[in-house]
Amino acid sequence: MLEIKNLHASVNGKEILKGINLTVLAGEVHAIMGPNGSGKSTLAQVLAGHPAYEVTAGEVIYDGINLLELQPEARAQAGIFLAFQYPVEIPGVSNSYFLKTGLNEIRKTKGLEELDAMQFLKLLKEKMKIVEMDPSFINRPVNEGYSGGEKKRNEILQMAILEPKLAILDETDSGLDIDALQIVAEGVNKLKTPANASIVVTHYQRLLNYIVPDVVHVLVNGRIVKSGGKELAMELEEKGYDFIKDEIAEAQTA
Amino acid sequence: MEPRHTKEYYENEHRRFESNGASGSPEWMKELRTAAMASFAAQGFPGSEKEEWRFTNIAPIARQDFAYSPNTDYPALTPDAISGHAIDANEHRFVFVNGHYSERLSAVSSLPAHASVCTLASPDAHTNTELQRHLARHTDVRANAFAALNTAFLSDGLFIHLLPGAVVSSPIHIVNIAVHLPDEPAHVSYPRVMIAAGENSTATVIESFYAGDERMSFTDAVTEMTLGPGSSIDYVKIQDENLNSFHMHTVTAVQQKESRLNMFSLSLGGAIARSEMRVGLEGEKSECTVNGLYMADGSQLTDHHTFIHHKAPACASHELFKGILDGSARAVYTGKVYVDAIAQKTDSKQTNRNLMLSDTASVDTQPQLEIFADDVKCTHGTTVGGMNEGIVFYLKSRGIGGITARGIVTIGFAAEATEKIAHVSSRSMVDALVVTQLRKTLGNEVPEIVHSGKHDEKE
Repeated sequence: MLEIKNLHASVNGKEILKGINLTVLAGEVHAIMGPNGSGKSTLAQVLAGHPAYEVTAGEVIYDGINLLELQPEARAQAGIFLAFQYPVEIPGVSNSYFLKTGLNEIRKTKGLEELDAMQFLKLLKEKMKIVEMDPSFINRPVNEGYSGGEKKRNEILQMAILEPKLAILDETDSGLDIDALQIVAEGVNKLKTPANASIVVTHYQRLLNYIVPDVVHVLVNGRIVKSGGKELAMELEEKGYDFIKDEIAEAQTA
Repeated sequence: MEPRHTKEYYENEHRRFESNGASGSPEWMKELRTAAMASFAAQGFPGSEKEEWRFTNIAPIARQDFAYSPNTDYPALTPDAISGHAIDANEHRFVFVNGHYSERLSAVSSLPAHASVCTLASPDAHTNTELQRHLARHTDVRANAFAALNTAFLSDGLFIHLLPGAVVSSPIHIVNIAVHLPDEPAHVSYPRVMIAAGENSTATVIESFYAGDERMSFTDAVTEMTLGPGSSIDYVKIQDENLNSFHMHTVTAVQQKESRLNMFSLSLGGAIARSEMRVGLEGEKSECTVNGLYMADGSQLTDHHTFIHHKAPACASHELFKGILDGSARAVYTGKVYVDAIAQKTDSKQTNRNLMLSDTASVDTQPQLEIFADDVKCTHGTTVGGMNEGIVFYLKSRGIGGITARGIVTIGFAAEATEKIAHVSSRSMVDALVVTQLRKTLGNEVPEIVHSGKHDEKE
């Protein structure tokens, strides 16, 4: 589904990603872990097409197409979804309008009929149950005045409505208490199908107790330095990122 | 400016006015008018050499001979048509046609005890005394040609008199309509409102300005308010006249101790529209918020000029003006906060933000602070920029781009200003007008505005 080859990206002239290689197959959950500043969020943003990041080398093939040539909205329409680490507040605009508009844009590109207000409301209420969101959020402005947990649930709600083929969760666990974390993780698990895939970016192993990854990658200084099964996450939790750094240092001196 | 005899024109008009329509006014009002006319004649219309008018060229107003008309009988104006401008189902609606009260079009139910509203054309004996005490006492006609001209033609308007403790829960809505018969020349009207709020009184006053046709007209309005100790006034202004109209409005408020004034100005219409809002914080611990939203497109010029004078200790003033400019529109914002030496513990914040939707629109923004006290908290800031990139990317990441994203970002920008309106039905009206305006250029996809409810404490 997704193939990242030798991806280099920089922001304001500073190189952050220094040659990422990653293959994600349909049905898989990949976790990207790494210390602060390693480039995890940058990778997520680059895949979604954030204009602040410049791709300087490499390619990203998604479903047989060159992803990097697509505008961010075209990527979303093609089935890519980024759950933001810091969801953006949009005063004045209701959650339901925002979600309905996004869904209909995506349906249009798929050649599907747009949903009308009634159809959408029914779908929205169904999906809100998955993330245990109160119906009052339907008509509240997007993310404005929401708590951290409410914002993250709203991200997963959007994911549930848009049904992406590839979901990228950027530190969705940050700032969540354990209850909110469970709700968010359960939402993600319920949305998992053999046809879609997720990339879960996280600093802590905690989230991976609830979202079990097929593959764990460790990102350090803009490169994936180690990949393994879910036990790698446990090892990181136990030993911290230093042990990886030490391994690299040893490998380099050897 | 070409040497047309603008001053002489208005002097002649004034003589005609004094001999025809306004002979019924009380003697003191006539004296007020004569003095104001002399003041206007002495200064004439302001030119761009004056600092206050540097960015606002009013030559198109001076160039035109606008006619004063006391006529209020226009078949096109019916109570039904007017009710489309209603803001609140329970409002006391006073309708003025070309500056003159129309009882036929108004809808006024009885006011609570201790509150009275009457037109300036027909004050009773008691009101006359009160009116004389307040009217034109705080508007400086010597420094403001448009206020002088309004005062020179003063004969009608509304006097809202709140005795101590009066609580008017339904809003008082003053609807101004500029309108013509096909054979009438372009009109000038002189709307005038005086609000005298006694100690601990409370009211919401809305002034709206519309056009009844697409003709050129000139509205020269003056609003004055005095807020007694502990009184509270919510004031909302809506200016949505046609694109051929000219609008000059001077609002002056004087606040005594612990009074609270919450003003909002929406400016949508007009070829040239200027609102000058002046607040004198004269009593300790008084507070004012002066907020607004202006939207202009095409070749419109919109101008807000605010002056907040902290004259007493421990007062607060908060000001947020936002502008949305498209086409070749121009906006002017001049916000001045003046803090006297005695006004220690002043808390003042002034913000002006402009969203530029086209490369050919422009804005001149000048926040100014003059502080003579040493223990104050005063900030000001101004921004001029394009769409919020964070929101744009968030929308794109959800598949929403192009004109739809533009509509959402613009609504988000506007909503941050309109959420400041405490009076809920006024806010809904302002929101609806903003959405209607944006749909003209951004299409019907532009969403309705919703608010988070954090400002909904006042129904």
